[in-house]
Amino acid sequence: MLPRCRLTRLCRLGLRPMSAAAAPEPAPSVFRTSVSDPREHSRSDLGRLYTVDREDHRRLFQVTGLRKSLSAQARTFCELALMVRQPALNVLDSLRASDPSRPSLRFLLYGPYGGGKSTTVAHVLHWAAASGWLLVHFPEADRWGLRFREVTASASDPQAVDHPVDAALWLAHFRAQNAARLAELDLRTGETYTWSRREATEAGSPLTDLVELGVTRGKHASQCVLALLAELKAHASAGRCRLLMAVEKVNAFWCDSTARREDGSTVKFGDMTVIRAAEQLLRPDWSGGAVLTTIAPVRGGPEGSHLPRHQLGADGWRALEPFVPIRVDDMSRAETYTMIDYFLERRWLQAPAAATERGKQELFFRSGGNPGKLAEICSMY
Amino acid sequence: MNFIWMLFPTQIDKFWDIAKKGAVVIMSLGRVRVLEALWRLPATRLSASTVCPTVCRPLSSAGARSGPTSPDPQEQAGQVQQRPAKNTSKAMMAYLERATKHEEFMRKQVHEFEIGKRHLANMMGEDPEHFTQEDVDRAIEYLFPTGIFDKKARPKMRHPTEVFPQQKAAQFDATGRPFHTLFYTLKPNFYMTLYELVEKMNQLDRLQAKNDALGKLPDTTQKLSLLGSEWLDIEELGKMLVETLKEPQYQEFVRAMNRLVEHPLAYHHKDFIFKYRKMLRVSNETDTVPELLFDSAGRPYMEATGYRKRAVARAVVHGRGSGRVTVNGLPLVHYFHRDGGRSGNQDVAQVMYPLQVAGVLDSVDVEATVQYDGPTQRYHGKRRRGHRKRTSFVPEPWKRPHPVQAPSSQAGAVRHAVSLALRSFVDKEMQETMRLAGLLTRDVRERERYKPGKKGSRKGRTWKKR
Repeated sequence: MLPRCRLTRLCRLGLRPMSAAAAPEPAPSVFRTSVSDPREHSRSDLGRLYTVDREDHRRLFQVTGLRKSLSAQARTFCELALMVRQPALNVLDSLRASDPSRPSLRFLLYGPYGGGKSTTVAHVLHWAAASGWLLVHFPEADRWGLRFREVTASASDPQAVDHPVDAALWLAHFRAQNAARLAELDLRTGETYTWSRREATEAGSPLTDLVELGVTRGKHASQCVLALLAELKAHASAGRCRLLMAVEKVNAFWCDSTARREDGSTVKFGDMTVIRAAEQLLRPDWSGGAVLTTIAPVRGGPEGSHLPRHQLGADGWRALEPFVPIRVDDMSRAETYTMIDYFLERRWLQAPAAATERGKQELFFRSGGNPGKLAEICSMY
Repeated sequence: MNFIWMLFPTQIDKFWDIAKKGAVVIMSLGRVRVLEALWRLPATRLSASTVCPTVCRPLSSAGARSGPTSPDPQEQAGQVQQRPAKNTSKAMMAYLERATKHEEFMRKQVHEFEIGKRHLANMMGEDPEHFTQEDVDRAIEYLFPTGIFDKKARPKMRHPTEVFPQQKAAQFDATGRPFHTLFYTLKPNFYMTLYELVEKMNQLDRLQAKNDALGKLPDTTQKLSLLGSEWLDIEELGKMLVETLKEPQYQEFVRAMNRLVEHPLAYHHKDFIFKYRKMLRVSNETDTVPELLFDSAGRPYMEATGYRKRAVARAVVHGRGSGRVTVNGLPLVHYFHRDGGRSGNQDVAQVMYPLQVAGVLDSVDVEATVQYDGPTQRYHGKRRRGHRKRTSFVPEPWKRPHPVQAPSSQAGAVRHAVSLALRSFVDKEMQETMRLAGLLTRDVRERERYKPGKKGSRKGRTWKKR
């Protein structure tokens, strides 16, 4: 949650972030909860921070997956601490109670900028991974159309667009998140996928083959993603696995991207193979899992209200409806004080005034309880 | 018997008295005119009194045709003795002439003012007899509507003594003899004041000695209270005495007055002391802090309006709150979403300032509405070729839920409104603290106008040597 520039500044000043060995063991305190297994989180942990197990952190978010500021904070503090908040608990309760034979639930997280939507997604992903679900996580959906590395025209469909590099990277992220579970489940492809005259993935081969192929061969990576997600959808519907798809900034799917074809026409997100792959799972025609989405203002998206109907637009609304809307609001006073206590404990806030009641009031007022703003303010002092 | 009274301009007040007695009065300094006047008069007994010495000589040498007879001893006894004839220098003459001219001028101005006031009263349909200065001001404001910003530049009609600087009347007579005993100090009024002060000090010392002898103590109930007043400053004192004082002189004056005030019996000369003290202006605002209102739920609240530049804000502050501040329906931090770069969000900090000073950050709720009524502001700077202006404090459009025009003036207006409303919630001491913090003062700074030939209000065009 802290800007990376702060970290580099510290390094330039000669202060290195604490190494794992030197980091003090977090002492038990009021603002922390010792329950680090998200499956056991309950109302009593509300408003408190829990530490994500180091292994889980590496597995789930090593390649990508957390916001830059949150991952920078995790590096600085040598731990990833997430706050247990009501929206996340709401989602978890629903997921626990959901029936795998019914069509998948779709959740939409919305709220003010910097309010904690991505962090909620991270919490739910952690729970899903701990509960043995497979994860399909798109951390920033708008990157596919705005800050992509490379796009090429798709081989199969001339109008479609592939992402050789980004899709391969995403598959690496998928692999990191799901390798162990996939190996346990030993899921197999249901169809044969022909990539070229010589290359093909036979039906019945493990899904990990698809993943490996996509990671190594960027040319086919996007098609691999498409195939992979179709397979997972089928497996989940058949009851062989539970699948959680998390798409952040899903409203980007119905925007124009900045990519242009050779003839100059604008590429829509809907023309991208990877996005089409994700959209398979957005449809309500599968069961055995859930979809967790987030909306956030994106460049090229509609300006104005940050509420779902405006940001999704008519197409997105039609595609996503019906969904469970969950508002992720700014933190309450107690939650903000918890964050401040955490910063104090980690020796990030060092001014003595920050520990006083008046200082905390001031920080709460200045940030308005908004987690992003609080981090921004705290990095100044 | 008619008397010719040669009066000096300084004796104008005698003019009417003498005229009533039926005497012919000639008022002139020029001897030629006096001679002419004398020739025109019938040959009656003439008596000169306080005659201008320059006139005396021709009269005495005029001979039998007409000239003053030797003055009657009785008449002379009652008159001011004649000064010996002496050459008056041109400088002195000029000085006396200037003094006379000024007095005449002032008299004329006062006369015109009085006439003008009566005309004005008639114009406004009011009673000329009871037309006060306030009525005059109101009439002028009505008849000469103006949009001039500076109140001092607006048309006004005041008594000439308020408009024209006071000048001293002639300080010496035609012979050059000064009227004031301390004339040669060059600041007679000032040194007279000090002299009186010392006199009074000595008098009080004598009184105290007498009281000590009688065993009487000073009356503590009458002890002078200088609270709420301060000594006139150097300019004001100089204006009062019609003399320009220097700093060391003023310091001496203040020191001497302080010594007088410290005397236990100083209350005897209260009038003298307070002649040189000005009452501190009591601010209107602190006098009229409104009482708290109560809503249907019994919750105290207060409303106030605040201003800054072209923004107007209306704030309602509720007591028994939890520190929630909303502006135009949005939470404060979301309405003022300008990032601050190094210094944080300045607009939020501005609104926080009065709550912080009053110590009510978590005990009041604020609902504010603010409007900006000024020129449309552009968010980003002028784009030049090859140069992208980096406005670090404005988030990108897709992060901005709503554009806010002129955020700093809106924030300033909200701060002013909240401060004014908070006065009702806090005690007098805190109100004073807030006043000293500058929270209660309406910031009158406005945008300076553009001038032709400049780029803006001050910045000039590029200077080219040739």
